[in-house]
Amino acid sequence: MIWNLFEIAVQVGLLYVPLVLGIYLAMGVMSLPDLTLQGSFGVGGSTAAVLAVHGHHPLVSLGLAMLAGAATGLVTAILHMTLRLNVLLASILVATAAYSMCLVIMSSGNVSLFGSETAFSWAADAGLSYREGTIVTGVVVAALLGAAMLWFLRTDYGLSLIASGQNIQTARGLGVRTESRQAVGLAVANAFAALSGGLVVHNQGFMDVTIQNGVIVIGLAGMMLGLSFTRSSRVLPIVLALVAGVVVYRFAVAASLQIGLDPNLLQLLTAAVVVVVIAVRSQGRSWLSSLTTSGRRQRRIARTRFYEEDRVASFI
Amino acid sequence: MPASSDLVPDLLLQGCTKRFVAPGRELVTAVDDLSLEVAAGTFVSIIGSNGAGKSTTLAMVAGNLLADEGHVTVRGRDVTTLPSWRRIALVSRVRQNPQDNMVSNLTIEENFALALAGRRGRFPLRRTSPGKVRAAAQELLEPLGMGLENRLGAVSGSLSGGQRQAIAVAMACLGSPAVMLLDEHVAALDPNSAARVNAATERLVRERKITTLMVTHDMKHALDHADRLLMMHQGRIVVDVSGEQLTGITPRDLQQRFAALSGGSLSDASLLAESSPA
Repeated sequence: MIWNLFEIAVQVGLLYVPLVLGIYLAMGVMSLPDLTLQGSFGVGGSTAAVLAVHGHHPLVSLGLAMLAGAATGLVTAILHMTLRLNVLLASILVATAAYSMCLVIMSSGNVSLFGSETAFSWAADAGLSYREGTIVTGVVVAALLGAAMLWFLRTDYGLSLIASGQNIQTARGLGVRTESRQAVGLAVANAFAALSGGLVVHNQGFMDVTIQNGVIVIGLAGMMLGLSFTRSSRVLPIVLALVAGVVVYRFAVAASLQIGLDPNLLQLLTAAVVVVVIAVRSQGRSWLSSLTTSGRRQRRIARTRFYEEDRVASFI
Repeated sequence: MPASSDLVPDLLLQGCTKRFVAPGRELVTAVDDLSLEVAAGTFVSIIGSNGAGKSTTLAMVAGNLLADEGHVTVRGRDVTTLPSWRRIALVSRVRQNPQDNMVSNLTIEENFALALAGRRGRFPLRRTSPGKVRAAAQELLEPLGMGLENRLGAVSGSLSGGQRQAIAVAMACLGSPAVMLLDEHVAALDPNSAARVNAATERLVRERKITTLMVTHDMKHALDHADRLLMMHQGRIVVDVSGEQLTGITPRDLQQRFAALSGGSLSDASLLAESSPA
């Protein structure tokens, strides 16, 4: 049964690898709190669904889905750069608008891909089961994207992206035009999220506009779990950890459903995973140390310092 | 002290003014109609109290702040309205906080790769050949005598503040910019590291004859090492001495002038510093 759960986790989890890499690129590398990714997931899903129904090759439909996602991310970047909107605010607005865009792209709330050629149709011709075909496609996509990310972040351009996400003034002092890096980072991250949406839609054989709801938290859960597997700040271990993280997250979900968790609680579980992982990462050691008096004192000091240094930033 | 008129000065500020809106909505003039000409290869020290406009002046040269009025010309090129990232072939700046000078989760080598790409003005989708980066890094790091040339793979966040500031100065020397700005770059360091970074800095910029503007609070260092000394007060230059005039001045003279301007008396720290052995 464990093996079966693991297979399910790999099968579903790998489809979310692009989303997690996108979230990591936007939030981890660029330090931009980009919620557009959720909208791009939906936009990518609807684009891939409609194009598949119209008989386009899966590579074409997924490629155009990525372009649609990149365009969605660019809207956020342009709102940020031209109107100087806070990225979080801009991305919430764009994600909300993207919901309507999905309905416009599909001209309805849902689309069935029954009988259309999808990115997973090849499995039947090759004599593989649907699950095997899904896993193979997922592995190929995850490997390609992971390798692309590794290569990209090691080029001079990629280094300038990392610099822009760490300290704008430092990056500009090194000659980096940071505003363009932010736009490129958001575009690539959202293209990844859209690819994830397209893959999920192709895999489940239908697209419903609600699939994007809460998807950012799924990605966050995968990312936070993954990041808890490594302390390195290097790209290779992080990419591997992210892939592992999303599979582990999916395993937890599959196991919870298996032991009879009410599916209605799934979103709650996902949010809880994020909170618990962050709590353990940032507080675990100090919780352990609070068994002693001096540990408790250190905790109090750390908490006071957090309140002293707490910052507020105006949204508007 | 102005450059001989047949040469283009490396740095020319003409009537530069910068005002800020303070939280109380009142306008504060940080730099007030400042004009300055610096001849090529000069090592200039700038001293002055907090709020005198030293950092604002450097920021206007680097492009982190744009002048409200006036013109900034570097080696004959008007850069007044250029953003900072487009000035770096001409101007490089090292800040006070070591964390602001290097990308801390990249290695020393990657930081140099970035700096090299920045000087070329191109960040291509490929990696500058490691050999080229290492050669450039070693050439600049070796003279520092800190052994950093053997630690190119170290993540820069793991280095000490002094090491990072020394590397930052070395990186700022890449491609020999026209003007180097040092904004209290040893202020966050302990006295030993500060002395080492100061010595390394002077060696690097003197060797390459890079025109340097250094903001410092160390008057003795400013007097002993600079070719020209400026004192700023309330956004203006109030003292400008260079060459032989410098040798006739003691730190005490400067301190007194300084104290008179800021309406206070000599600080204990500066009196102590003065009595310490040279």
